[in-house]
Amino acid sequence: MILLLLALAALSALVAVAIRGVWRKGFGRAAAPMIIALSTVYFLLVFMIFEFFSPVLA
Amino acid sequence: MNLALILQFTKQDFFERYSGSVLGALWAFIHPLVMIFIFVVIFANVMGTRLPGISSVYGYGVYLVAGLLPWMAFANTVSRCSSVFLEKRAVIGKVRVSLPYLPLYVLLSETVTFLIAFTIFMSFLVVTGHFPGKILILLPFVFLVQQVFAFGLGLFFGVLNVFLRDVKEMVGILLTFWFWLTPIVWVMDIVPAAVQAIQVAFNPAFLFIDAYHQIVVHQQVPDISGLMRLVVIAHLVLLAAYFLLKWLEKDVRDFL
Repeated sequence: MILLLLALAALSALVAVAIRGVWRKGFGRAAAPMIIALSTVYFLLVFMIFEFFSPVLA
Repeated sequence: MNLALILQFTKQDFFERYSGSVLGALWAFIHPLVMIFIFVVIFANVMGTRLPGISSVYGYGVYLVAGLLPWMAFANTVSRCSSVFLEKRAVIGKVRVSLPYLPLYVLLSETVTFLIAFTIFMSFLVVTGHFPGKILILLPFVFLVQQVFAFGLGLFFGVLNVFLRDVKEMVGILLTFWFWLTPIVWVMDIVPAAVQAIQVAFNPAFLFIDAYHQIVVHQQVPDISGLMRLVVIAHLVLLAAYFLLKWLEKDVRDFL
């Protein structure tokens, strides 16, 4: 459970920093699609983590 | 677009709802409290409704509220985002605001409303001994995906609504149909297997409502593959809405 929380916190912090960077500096016209792409990858990874940890939660 | 401006709009939107009333923002707590009381207690004790497979008297009430609260957040976000450009046309005309980010304040405001209602609901579950426990850690992610999907749909309809004002009314009707087609009030067991398969395959709302039911009512890990499918659908809708807005941005500003 602690491992799961740590993995989620680390991943969330990483993606938050990346999205903040894209938001503030921008990738020109591609900023919003970049944020969307980042968040898609984020969610897919989160659910993969949960799939991996599902015996812990069940 | 400035994050501070979005936060200011969010604060303004949330407090404007209760401006002028004596109890003010307390209404944000009273409304869900009354709703949860009616659905859970009245359904259980007065009407005696039971949920198949769940022995608790509060089973159906918990099932109903667990689906209804996220649906309300979803439906309000879609519906309010679809009219946001017309509502904020005065601001758009005067200040240089980024149109794709403007509806974010609706999403944030509805998220605050949901959080208040859900916290009250969780307190009720603690009192009645139905608290889901550590599985609850999954809920924020389900809510985020659901709201990304709602934001994408709202943005898409918001662009169309600028050119054709009937879109907002059509969205209202669509959401009413969608609500009754999704197993929120009724349970999946009462429909034939073919309808259940259609729900799983073609109803994105089923994917997140079912996840809430699995977590809160059954205290089980939801279907992760379904949620991953929802992630992809939600972001594709958001991407489509974003490109539609970028494509038509000049016309949107002219029409407003």
